[in-house]
Amino acid sequence: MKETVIIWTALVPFLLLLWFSQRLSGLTGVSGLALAAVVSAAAVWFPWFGHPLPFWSASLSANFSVIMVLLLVVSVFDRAFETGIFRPRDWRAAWIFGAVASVLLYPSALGLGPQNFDAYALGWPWLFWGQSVWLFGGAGFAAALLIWRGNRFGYVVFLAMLGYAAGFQESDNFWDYLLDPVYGAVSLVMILWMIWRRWTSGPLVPTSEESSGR
Amino acid sequence: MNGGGTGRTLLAVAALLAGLAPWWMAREEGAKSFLGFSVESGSTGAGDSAATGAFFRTAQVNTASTHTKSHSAALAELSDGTLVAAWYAGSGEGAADVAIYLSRRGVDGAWSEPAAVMTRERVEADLRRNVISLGNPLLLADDSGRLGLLFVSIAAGRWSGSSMNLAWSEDGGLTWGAARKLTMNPLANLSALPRNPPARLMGGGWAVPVYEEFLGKFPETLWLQPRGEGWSSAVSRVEGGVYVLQSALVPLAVDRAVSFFRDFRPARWMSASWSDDAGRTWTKPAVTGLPNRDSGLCAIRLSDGAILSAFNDLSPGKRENLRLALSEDEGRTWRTIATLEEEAGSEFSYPFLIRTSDGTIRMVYSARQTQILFAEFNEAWVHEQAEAAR
Repeated sequence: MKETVIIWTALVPFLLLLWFSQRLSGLTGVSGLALAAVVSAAAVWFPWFGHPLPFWSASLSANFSVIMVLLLVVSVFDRAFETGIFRPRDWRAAWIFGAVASVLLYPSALGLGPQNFDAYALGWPWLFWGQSVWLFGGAGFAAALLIWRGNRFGYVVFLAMLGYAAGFQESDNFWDYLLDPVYGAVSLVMILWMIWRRWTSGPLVPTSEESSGR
Repeated sequence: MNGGGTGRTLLAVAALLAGLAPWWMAREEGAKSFLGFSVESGSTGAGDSAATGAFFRTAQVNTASTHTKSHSAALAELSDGTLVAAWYAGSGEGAADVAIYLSRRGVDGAWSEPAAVMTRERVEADLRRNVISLGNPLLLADDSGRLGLLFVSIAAGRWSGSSMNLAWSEDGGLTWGAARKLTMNPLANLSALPRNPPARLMGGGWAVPVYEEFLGKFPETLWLQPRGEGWSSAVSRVEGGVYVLQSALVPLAVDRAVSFFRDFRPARWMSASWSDDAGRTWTKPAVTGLPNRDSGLCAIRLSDGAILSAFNDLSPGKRENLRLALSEDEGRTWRTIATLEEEAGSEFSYPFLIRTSDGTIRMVYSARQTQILFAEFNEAWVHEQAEAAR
């Protein structure tokens, strides 16, 4: 097992606990973050049923996406320091990206849809080299377009692509750097929530903060 | 354009290039991955009728076994001619005491005492994650003497909670390196299992028939490609849906192959798909003239191009017999030529066939899911059976 995989499988439960402990405690600022980080780190290394949390999180999945981890980092920092790293439109781009990717990937990966098409196979660039350009080029194009338009989620996609080039996950499938079931499910829920809000409250009007592209 | 705009444009170009760079760098490996199947006609068998006459011999591999469950046996030939058999055994399917057992058959023809080469505890330590049971081993023997072991570990539930692992041995299976997890699908990497013999690829890699058994039940191909000191793995779909699985992959030529499937549709016929592009794409599964009552089957190509299949024929019980059938038209039509086992109320299942370098056909299968039985015969014996069945 690669050392980077061990670190990754510890980082994901740590960030999730940090995110939850921030929200449950209401703590903000450096001291709040430090306290939440200490509590989360202790919970990660505490032997639950004989094993630390990374053992159990790896049993569930060792391939949490780079995008989900970076979104957690952004959320934790925004909560602690009210820095506003991500604006509403950046979050919207994250949810749309996750929802679209989920719809493209999971039905075919589960054997549904066109019988012998599996979008997941496009994530191994050497397997169907000609066709996989659509996934790699598509992700590159999405990141480039978002960055060019000043959407900060583009940098997150860019970092996920650099992560794939570094190859630090257990999986060497590009999809696993972009998407995981948790990020996909949250994205779909958020998109449905946004649609419901639009139905009940009318069209979403960009705030002046969003319009300024700050 | 201001400085921020220029910086963003440059980053946007970098992002586009970062997306395409891994794809572009993979072009050489991609070209190698589908060089085609390594198909050898080989000898017609050590017992070629002109030399030693037709023969058929049987033996039990796990003679002293006390396990109440021994099943899903696989077989491989090492470069020195040693035969290696692997299977899973324990107190029951999915039980914590299930281990992967291995036995070797040397030149004296005797099977060695089975050794547990992968236990739940060992795999849990190698993978650093929860393992509740093991199953479905498959062996990969290359020309350098290295032996690979593919097997599943179950993280939760039953077979649908399984995922695939790979370990290598440099001494013919006596000692094994650490098992590593193969990522086969994006949904928590659940539910991928190997079953039938792998096919060698001309680029030095392997095409391994595997299947998924979660929401869908369908066959896939696991591609293993040498990369530096390690291996790249990838999976491609043979057919989706929920009606065929456990394919038996039979290379017919460098770029041509046929796969036969365990089929659980009510029609009870084995189905088959053909590929003309070295396994990239497959035709829609078509029913053949060979019965299959949702049970594992295996097939190999003989030296004259005919295909030999071992299968469970229809019987009042599910797997009360084990028969051999021959096809001379690439699997479209079949003729049953021999009955290897038949006993009311019993079970003979999961046949696994290989044709070794001397041309002899070797086979392992489970009897009553407690005994691992071994059979060996030559093509002369097959032709004798075929003539007698006419």
